[in-house]
Amino acid sequence: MKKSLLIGLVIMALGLVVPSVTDSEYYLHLFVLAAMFGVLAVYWNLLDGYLGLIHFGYAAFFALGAYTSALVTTRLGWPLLPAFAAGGVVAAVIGGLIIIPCLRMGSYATAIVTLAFAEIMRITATSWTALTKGEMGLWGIPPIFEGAGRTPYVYLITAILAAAVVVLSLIVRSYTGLAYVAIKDDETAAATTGIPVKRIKLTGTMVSCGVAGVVGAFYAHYILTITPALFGIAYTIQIMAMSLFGGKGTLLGPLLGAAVLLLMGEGFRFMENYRLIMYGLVIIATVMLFPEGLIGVVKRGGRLVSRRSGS
Amino acid sequence: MLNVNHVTKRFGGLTAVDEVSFGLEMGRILGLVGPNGSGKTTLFNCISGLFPPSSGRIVFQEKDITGLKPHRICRLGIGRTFQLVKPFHSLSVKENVILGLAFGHRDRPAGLRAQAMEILEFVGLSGKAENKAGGLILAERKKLEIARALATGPSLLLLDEVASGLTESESEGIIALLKEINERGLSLLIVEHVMAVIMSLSHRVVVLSDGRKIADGPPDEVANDQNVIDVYLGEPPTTQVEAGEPS
Repeated sequence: MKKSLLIGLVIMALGLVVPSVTDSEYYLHLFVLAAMFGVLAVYWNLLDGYLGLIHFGYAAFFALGAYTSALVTTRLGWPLLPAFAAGGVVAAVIGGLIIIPCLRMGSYATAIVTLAFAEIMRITATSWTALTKGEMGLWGIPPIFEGAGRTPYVYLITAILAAAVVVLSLIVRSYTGLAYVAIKDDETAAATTGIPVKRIKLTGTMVSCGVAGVVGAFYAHYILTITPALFGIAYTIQIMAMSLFGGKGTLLGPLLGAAVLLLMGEGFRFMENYRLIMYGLVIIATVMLFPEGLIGVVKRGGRLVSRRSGS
Repeated sequence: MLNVNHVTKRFGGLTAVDEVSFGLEMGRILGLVGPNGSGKTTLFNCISGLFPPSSGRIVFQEKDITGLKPHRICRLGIGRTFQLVKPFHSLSVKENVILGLAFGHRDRPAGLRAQAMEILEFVGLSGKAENKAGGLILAERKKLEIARALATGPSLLLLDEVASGLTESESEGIIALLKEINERGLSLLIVEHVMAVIMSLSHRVVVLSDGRKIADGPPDEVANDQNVIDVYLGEPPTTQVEAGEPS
């Protein structure tokens, strides 16, 4: 409990400090993106790293939250707070519905079903022009902070990130969090130990997708234009790469991965769409060379140093 | 307390368990034996809810548990271990037991950590409480599975080949542990290849062959049953083959 709150406070402090270190719009924008992808990577990792459920369509729920919130504000004139909540709820409910048939399948089948669902969503968002304006994208989305520059967005996304990390850390340290790892280790043994495997997988997925939806809503009202590309596999791969590169099955690894890969991605901006290749290579290299991720390497390095200085 | 009534389990065209019936009284130990592929583990999986029987009824403490989900059956008081041990390898020994306590009961009991240590003390693993379960040797993993099953507060324990792969002294340790568990009032249903274990523990033995029950009775009676001898040693040879001569 204390440790979880401490992590949250450190993240909050970081967010408060950043705008006073730099007033470059570009760097503040990068920070917002890093924090946003940080939340997504951390909650994708809840599924893959803790529950052993490979979700290949995660970005679709981010996009679903973005579209839901954008539509209810522009079409129905909802205020922002309920719109954000709607984004989260829609993503959570649909995320749950999609995972129900997967609960009877193995993890590879789940990966394919979630991937296919995300593509169906993307095609639907592209074709249903009456609702989504298709490839043109939705615009005219009301901003969260009217004409206030980037700084308040930095504060808001930091608060979301801190809350998300604290909640996750409480989940992971609870009995339910232990059950997640048990299910990943052996579903059969988990079930005969009294763990309601399907219910826990379902609620875990709903939480994870719901968080993606809220972050999507934030994105919509920050960038102010959204297109069906958000549903695409490219974003999911990016989130996966961040999570795996940072360290799967760890609380803060994916956050580190998001920050490092996002900055690296900016460095490789000249490669344009070929940047996706970079994410692919990062995933392959991580899985083959250091499966425990960046945070594992850092920890190992730390132990090595302390052993040297100790002797 | 446990009544298996005409339970059949088919996988496509294969009938793994065929119309098997038996009962187990409170506080007793029932041994389930039979050659490989005779349906013992399938029957276990039916009882513990991993797959529902194709037909037949399983009644536990006057409650029909046929086709219930495994976690429900566990919470009703049936714990089990696996032939190929399945501890939660990335969790610590203590966390394995804590999970049984936290999820195996209808209401989560208080003082889980202390209770977990008591159970580990009982099976003789308290010294390894903080170790990762994946790092234990086979005998310890078997004990951990028993501890995890005990943590769910069962009145019946299903033990699938709990002594297989162990040295003689290790399996004697397990037998002593099982006797003690039984003395505490738990009923045991054990599947075992090691006949010494079955003979020294069971009050009654049920023999399966090709999914059918072929014998049911006290161990010494079953051991002398002609059907059982045929199944284990094969039909008596009709033509004499001389030993030692290359064929």
